Amino acid sequence: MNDEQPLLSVAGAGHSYGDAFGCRDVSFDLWPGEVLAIVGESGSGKSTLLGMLSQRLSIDEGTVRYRRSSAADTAELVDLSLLSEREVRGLWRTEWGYVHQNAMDGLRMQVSAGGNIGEPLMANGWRHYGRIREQAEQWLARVEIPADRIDDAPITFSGGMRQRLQIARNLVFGPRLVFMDEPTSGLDVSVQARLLDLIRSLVADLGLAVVIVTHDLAVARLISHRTLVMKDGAVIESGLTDRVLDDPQAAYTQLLVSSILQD
Amino acid sequence: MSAPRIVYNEGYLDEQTKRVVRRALLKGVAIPGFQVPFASREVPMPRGWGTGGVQVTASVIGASDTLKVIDQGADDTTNAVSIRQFFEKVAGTDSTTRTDEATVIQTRHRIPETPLSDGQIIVYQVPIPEPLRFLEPRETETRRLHALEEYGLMYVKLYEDIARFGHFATTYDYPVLVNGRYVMAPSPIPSFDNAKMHQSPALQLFGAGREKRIYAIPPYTDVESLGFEDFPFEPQRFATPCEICGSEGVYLDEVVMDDRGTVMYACSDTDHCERTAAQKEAVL
Amino acid sequence: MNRNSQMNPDAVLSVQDVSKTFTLHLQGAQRLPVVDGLTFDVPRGACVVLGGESGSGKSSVMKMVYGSYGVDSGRILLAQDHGVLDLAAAQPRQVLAARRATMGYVSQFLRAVPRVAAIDVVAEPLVELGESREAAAERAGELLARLSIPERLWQLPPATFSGGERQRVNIARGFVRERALLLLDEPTASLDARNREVVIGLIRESLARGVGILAIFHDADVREAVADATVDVQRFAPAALVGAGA
Repeated sequence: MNDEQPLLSVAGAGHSYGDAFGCRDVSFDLWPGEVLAIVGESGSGKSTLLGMLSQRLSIDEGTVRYRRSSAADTAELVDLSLLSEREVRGLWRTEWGYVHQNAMDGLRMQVSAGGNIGEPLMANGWRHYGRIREQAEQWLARVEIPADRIDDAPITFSGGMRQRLQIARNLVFGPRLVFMDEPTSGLDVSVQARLLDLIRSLVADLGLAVVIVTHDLAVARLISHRTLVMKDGAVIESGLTDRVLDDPQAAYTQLLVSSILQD
Repeated sequence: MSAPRIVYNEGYLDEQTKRVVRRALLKGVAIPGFQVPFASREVPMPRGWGTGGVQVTASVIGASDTLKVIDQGADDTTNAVSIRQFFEKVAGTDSTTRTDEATVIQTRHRIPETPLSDGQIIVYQVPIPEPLRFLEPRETETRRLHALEEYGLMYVKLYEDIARFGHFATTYDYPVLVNGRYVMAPSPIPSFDNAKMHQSPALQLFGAGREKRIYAIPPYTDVESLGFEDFPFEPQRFATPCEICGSEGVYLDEVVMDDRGTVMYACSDTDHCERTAAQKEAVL
Repeated sequence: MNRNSQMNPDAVLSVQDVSKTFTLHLQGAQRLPVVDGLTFDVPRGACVVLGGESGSGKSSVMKMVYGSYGVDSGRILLAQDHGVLDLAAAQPRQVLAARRATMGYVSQFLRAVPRVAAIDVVAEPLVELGESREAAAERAGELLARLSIPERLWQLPPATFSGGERQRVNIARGFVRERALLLLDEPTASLDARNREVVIGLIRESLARGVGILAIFHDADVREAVADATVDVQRFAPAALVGAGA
């Protein structure tokens, strides 16, 4: 794998809702193993940006290019808007993961935990029940869900456990890039801490690249290497996470940082 | 009594409608297992009673045909008799209960025990043509899944069955892979009958009237029931023979004999049962 | 890698003509100058101490070197295995790589990640390097023992420790893996005499192995024990700029 070329390259990208732009002129590169946090308040455009990067929203301006694993030797980045629907869906099964804010959006609530984790494998052609189940067992252990819950449906799980199941489902097929949309919001504080800790260690163990949207600067500080700060659809500051949070340059960033409740 | 006030076209459906159905059938034959939408017409029975099957039969049948109609294997249920009489009247066809004498067989929920031959057409009545429907309710999404050959979801259902019951729980309408490409719902025939679809010499046509879909399996096509490598598909087995004719390896119906719960197991295929029993008597 | 960077081959770090001013937008864009034209080297095997009164910007200088603070102008050159890197102009991933490979940092306060056991906090820099968790934990245990952290605390997250204990975990983490440059920001502030001695010992051992150290010491005796040179940050204080929105 050529490490000189980024995994994801975004140049002047923007998405419009009619006449107004949800996010505009966003540029950054992401390398394997990097965690990038996109922080901002409601209406900042961070969710629009995530939607656009993950191909759920159209790229109306600029380009988003991605280096597919099939291009390992040439290290060529492909413009995502040029890919067919089949190719994009293929990426979602093999290289990309997406962790939704609400676990219900990212899981089949009536299918057992094992079935949820096994589905991406079955979608990729796995046809051996025993091996599929074994993978599911391993991943449940990895996300600290008790093994005896493998046949239970997530409708019986707590919020934190559902999120951990969603993470397992998204990592089982070995993606290189994972998008996360406020994965810890709505969870109890101790549950959040546990989940973030899990994400940290998985990212480190698996060398994942992650783009995580959050409104919580503490989350950004804990798990990201780099941070983009968004306001009104534009990126107003970016850099190393600890630099952005310890030495904010833009007025809005200083406001955000000073608004963190101190203990 | 004066002449009938309504003159029906041969086969009941007008010629334009027959063209619509035949075009759909041709497309279905060209793409085995693919669900072709069609403009489903009114026929003299409510939806859910085999209107799809009737429209398909009406479009392929002619006066020189011999029609057999079975309902869960029996020729003599009310519905089977009604449909047979209907075609006798509007298409002038001959009727038969003998599988080997029919040129067109319309069936609800069974494939006859007697092997079909080259030149025969079997028309299946289908309630829900989409095998993924219960897992994915959106039609827009299931069409995409078929188009992109993304059948992981189907295997999720099979996985769940094994996790929950240790074996596949579906015993009828068991999903099959046709010609190595499309996953298809064979209609609520028992999984026992699935093997008969594989490499059959007959032309197999499927009509879903309410859902407005037609599909087909041309003769000598591979039809494979889905399963896992370590949990392959296994059809049901019956431990006892038919109590009337003594046949083994046939699909049996459980017949309740009295109020005390006495049951008898007999061939579901009445034609096969009668002929086998008659043969045995002839020998004796 | 910068082609124009010139650096003394004996130095592991070379700070050249660095200036920084904070602009406090929330306080009417008030400007707070920190340093102007700051220049010094940290040679290999030497301990350079940042001196000056409280509030003179010593910690800020440390953070600028580490990358937690940006600089307005100047160069911060770091000698790495594969060449010289200007940390002031580097991309985030280059700074991250430099921190992993070349720069260690013992900050004033341990940012305790929730739920991670003390021994794993200390072992992490080695695990990152590719060592097995067992070997890393063993080395981590040696350091914790040396710093008098009782074994019964090793499996607990440091969030529940006393200030002094947390500081010692921090120090252990800073020393567990040898890197060419080590930044120490008041490492002995909450320590008793015995542990101060241990830290002095650790520093001397590192220096003997050629590690370059940039440090801030509150304690005069520690300073005297290990400092090879002092940089008075106040000498580089810019002329104060007064007023809002300048």
